[in-house]
Amino acid sequence: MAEQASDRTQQLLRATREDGPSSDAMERMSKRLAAAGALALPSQLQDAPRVAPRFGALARSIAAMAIAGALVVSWQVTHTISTPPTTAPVAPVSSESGERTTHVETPPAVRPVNTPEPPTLSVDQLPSAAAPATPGNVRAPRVTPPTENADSPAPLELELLQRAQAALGRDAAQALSITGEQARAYPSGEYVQEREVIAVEALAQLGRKDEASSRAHALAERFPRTPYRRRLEIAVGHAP
Amino acid sequence: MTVDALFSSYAGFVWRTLRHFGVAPVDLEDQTQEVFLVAHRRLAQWDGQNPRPWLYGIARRCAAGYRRVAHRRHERTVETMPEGRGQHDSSERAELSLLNRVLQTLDEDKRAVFLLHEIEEMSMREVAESVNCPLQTAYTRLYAARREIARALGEEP
Repeated sequence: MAEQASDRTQQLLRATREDGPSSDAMERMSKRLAAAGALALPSQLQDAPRVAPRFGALARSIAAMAIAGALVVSWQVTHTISTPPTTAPVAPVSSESGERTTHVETPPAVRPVNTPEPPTLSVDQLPSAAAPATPGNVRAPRVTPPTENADSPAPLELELLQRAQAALGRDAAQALSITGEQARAYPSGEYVQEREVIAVEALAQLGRKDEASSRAHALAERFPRTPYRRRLEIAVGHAP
Repeated sequence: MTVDALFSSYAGFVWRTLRHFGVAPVDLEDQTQEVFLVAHRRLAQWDGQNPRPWLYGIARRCAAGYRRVAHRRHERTVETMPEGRGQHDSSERAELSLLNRVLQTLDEDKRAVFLLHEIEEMSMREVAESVNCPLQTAYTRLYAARREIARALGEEP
């Protein structure tokens, strides 16, 4: 076999090559990468370059699931959108650690062209950067959870997360403030890990090392298999 | 190339690479995710050429970090196999297990070259770039790996 693998070995190699993440695993990873800002927003997935044939159909299903998942909160909070859903309900997602679940009631279809854009929240409506970040003594948020204020729909949890991520590079205090908003509006939200990672990084950038370290440790304790361990380690300078 | 395209095209490659670098099956999903998070952060510094060698380097470093942390955590008993795409019968699973055990007997240099060329079907030029060695050295390692595997599988005359 010095120069060419035997048929038997070739067969084994082919079988090994076929192994990989299941479609459910791909969906979970895709969703979390999108929440962390590593993948494009669902509305931008349609512009992504053509993918390799092996994952072509899988990528399309992932895009559909991501769109359904990201828009479900919009469906809950937006009272002006009346487009009936045309996709099957999304099955509940359970995490590996059992820490978070997602319950989807009526996932909408991809938003029609003539449907108004979901409500956005301007930066000026957010509390000032000087506001305390600790949950115990923050003032009442301007943004209320979806069920409380029909006239001013709350921003999506994902939107808040992405605003915080975007702010992190230029204004750590604002990023931290936005994570506080997210925590108040969605205390048991789907993106708890991502929110906490941004908060840790913001605290570290603000020089509040002890707080950053404490929150990093809490996150690692609560989610032992968090994929953000390395990011936490970089932020606080040691393993969480 | 966007991270979306990289993920769609190469998530399986990263998954298998991490597995071969010793990431426990139960942690493959998290570590695969970590690789693409790193890729996202470093995308601006990447020249856009040869995505697999680039991702391979990231995966290798992530796996090294994982192994450093793993020994500080208590071991978890894996009672069920993680979700995977491969559907194999029991005899094929046994042979795959044998192949994996044989691969683990190779030194890291030979194993890396063999996996990247024979399983991931990368060109030898890509392989040499991934493992950061001259092309001729990569070929030498590949031939040596093939001989050792054939001997271990009882296929050498």
